[in-house]
Amino acid sequence: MPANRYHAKAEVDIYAKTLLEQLNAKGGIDAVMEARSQMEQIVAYNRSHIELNRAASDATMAPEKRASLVKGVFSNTSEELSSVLGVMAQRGGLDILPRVLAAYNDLIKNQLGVTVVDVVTRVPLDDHLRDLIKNKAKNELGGDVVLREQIDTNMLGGIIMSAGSRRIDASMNTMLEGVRTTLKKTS
Amino acid sequence: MTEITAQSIDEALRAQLEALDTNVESREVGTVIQVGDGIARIDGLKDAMAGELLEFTGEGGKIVYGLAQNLEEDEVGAVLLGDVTVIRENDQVHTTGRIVEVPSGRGMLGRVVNPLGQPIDGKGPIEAEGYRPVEFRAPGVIERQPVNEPMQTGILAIDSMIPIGRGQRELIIGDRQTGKTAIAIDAIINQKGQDMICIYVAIGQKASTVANLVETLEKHGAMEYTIIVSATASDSAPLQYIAPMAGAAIGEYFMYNGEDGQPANANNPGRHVLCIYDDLSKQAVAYRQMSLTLRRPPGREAYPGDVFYLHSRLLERAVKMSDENGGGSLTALPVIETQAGDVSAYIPTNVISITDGQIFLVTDLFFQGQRPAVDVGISVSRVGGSAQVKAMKQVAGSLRLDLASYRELQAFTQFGSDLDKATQQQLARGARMTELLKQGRYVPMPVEEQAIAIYAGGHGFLDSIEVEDVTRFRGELLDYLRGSHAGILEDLRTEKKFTEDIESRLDAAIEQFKQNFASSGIVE
Amino acid sequence: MNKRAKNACARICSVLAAASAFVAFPALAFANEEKEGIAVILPDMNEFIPMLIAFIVLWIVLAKFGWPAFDKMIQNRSDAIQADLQKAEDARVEGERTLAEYRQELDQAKMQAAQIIADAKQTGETARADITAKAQQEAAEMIEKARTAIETEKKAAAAQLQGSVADASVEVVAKLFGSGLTDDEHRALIERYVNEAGSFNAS
Repeated sequence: MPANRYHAKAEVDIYAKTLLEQLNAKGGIDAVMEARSQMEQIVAYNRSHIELNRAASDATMAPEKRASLVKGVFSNTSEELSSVLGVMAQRGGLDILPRVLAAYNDLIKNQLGVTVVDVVTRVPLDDHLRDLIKNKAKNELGGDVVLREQIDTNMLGGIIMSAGSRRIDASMNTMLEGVRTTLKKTS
Repeated sequence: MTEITAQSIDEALRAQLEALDTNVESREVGTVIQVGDGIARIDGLKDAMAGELLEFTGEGGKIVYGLAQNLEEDEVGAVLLGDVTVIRENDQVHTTGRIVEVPSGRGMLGRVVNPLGQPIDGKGPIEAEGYRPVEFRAPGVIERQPVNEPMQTGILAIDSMIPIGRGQRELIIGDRQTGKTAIAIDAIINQKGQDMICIYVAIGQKASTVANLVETLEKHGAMEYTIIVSATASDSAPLQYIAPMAGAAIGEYFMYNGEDGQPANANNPGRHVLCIYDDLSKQAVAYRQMSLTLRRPPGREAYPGDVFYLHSRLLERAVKMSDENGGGSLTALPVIETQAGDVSAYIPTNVISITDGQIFLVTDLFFQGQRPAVDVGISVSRVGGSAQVKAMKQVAGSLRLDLASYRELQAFTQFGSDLDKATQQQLARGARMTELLKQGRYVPMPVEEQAIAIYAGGHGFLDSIEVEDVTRFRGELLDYLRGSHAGILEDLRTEKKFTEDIESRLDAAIEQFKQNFASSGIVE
Repeated sequence: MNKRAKNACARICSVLAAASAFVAFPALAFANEEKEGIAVILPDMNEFIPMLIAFIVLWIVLAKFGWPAFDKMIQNRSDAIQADLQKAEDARVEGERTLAEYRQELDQAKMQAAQIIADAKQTGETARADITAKAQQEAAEMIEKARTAIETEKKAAAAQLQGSVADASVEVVAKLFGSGLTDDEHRALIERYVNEAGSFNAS
């Protein structure tokens, strides 16, 4: 990894841009979104598990071997993503993946003009709700809104919407927790 | 008296439900990348501010608060306040737009709280009158006035020669086991009935020590006007780091607000606060730990570069407000522990240069039985003189001279040679004056009694008393004056200075007492 | 006795010795008595003349040496007595004065003693009042402390109770929501929340 942080940033940008352009050309916005959620999973997994990171940046292994290892691990992801990850491993490791993801998200917003809203609910959304949320996000954030829906049966109810780093947590769990703290307060 | 009935509970719940805010706003969220050593590194939170309060949602929806410290290009370094074990990687963090605040108000008097203002003495919840930010800009030049009221510690050696004024910052410095805390505690006990609110901040001390201290203060009826902020050695470094600032914030509430809780002004006087930080070396150590785990570059003695600023901005909050701002005051008594008397270490030199003077406690004196072990030669108070009571000023000048010449002579006479009569006399006077400054723990003396004791020494009444009898003489003389010549004490208290009339009456009274004292000495 | 008195005594003795020598002669003359009648009591001239001469001589001698010495002795004695009397008088006056002084001192001492006792009494009285007041105050403080302790205990108990009530209600609500609602009801709820929620841009 380059010592100069501008170089590092440029490298990150190249990874993100290459990935985005290839995926967009091949599978359109759906492929882009698919890679995004996969990368998110990898980043979250890497935070709590050190093994993969360590193997990907193991200096005792030949760079080509690292690349093939990583490619093997992520063989069920899209070809473009796994090859980008392989190059990363070959060139030093997966440490920069979170930054690549951040740059990738920025590119989705700025280059494709797409606003991604992650929605987590207990029950599947219907079209009426989708339109409602899309309109809300479009009015407030602009751009084409793409919803990424996720079902979480641990949720009691309600909805969590996130766009970028901002989040609206209208889940039943959080609300009840709020009620509980308020009720416990003595005046 | 409150009655616990189903109805009262019902009412309380209803009242809280009324206040329930069901609006959901969007918030900036980040994710914990790494957690450990009481710090967390967070991805995201691009809008976080330095020192901002962060809310971590841990396992099972538990809320833990943190302080944003390092703002980097793509991550934020934060310290955790509270239970660090419930936070894991990938937990959610969001900003609150606030900085750390502590509750304050009269409800806290007599209580023991942690640096977040939460009670830890098992006496139930505290009703806060208001909240104060932990980090607060110190008042500027215009809002202040020079120190002009005395803050009596009740300790003869200090009130006479190292006087402390309200709004001053006086460092108490010395090795371990030299009685630093004892001075602080005596000062608190002496504030009884002085309309002073005391805040004792225990940083990195043993919990048992703090418990003992609370008991001592309770026994002397001093808890009624005292708040104890405790960050014991088992609390996390960030808690120890914010403890003195939390203490200052709790104190500032009383200083900036009048008796009625409204902001202080010319018609609504602010109150007087005494804040003791025991001790700042431990805070510096906690801050060093925090900084190193946050990967800030270490400097001298591995302390971070801004450790001076840490202490200067804390002590700058000690202030005597101008009359337009209510004339309240916050007196700071920071404590620093030295290692083997080394005052040239990093933290001691820093704090010495920040404060308005220091009280040096010396191990040698302590073991010689000179307690409090104040080395009056190198202890100074740079601003307290203007706040000293006039009566004390009149007698203390000669005391300082007597002791100075005594020390000088003592050094010479150690070579052992024939001494002329004047020298002998000076030595005898010095020995008695030194003896006069000895004082037990928890027995603070009112200022007029201190003045009389020094007056008796300075005017040669002690010269014919044996050195071992000096403290007994002082005690019995004051008892006698209180019993039979209460008028003299009363006059001195109201006049606040030695007039010719008081002096002549006092001379007569001491002479009379001395005759009785001498005879009782023979009987024994 | 002084020297002069001794000298005077020696002189008187010598004069008396001379006088007794003269008296011895008539005793010799009476031894040859042969007269009768009136002549018996009339002086015999040849006896009378030497006796007269002797008397005159004796008188002169006495007048010259004896009398002044005697006179002086008397005077000395009188002086001595006078001086002794004076001394006695002085001593008496002195004694009276001392007595008066002693009396005065005694009175003073008595007064002082009374004063000290009064002082001590007063000190004791104040001390007692102090102690009583202190004890009362302490008792009041203790009661007050106990009262506050009870109060805080009660408050803590109430808070705890309130907390468990809150916990219980929240649990109940959670149970009801979790499984008690149909999907459509959930969706209706979501719709409401989305409509009520604040903006993504709000800070």
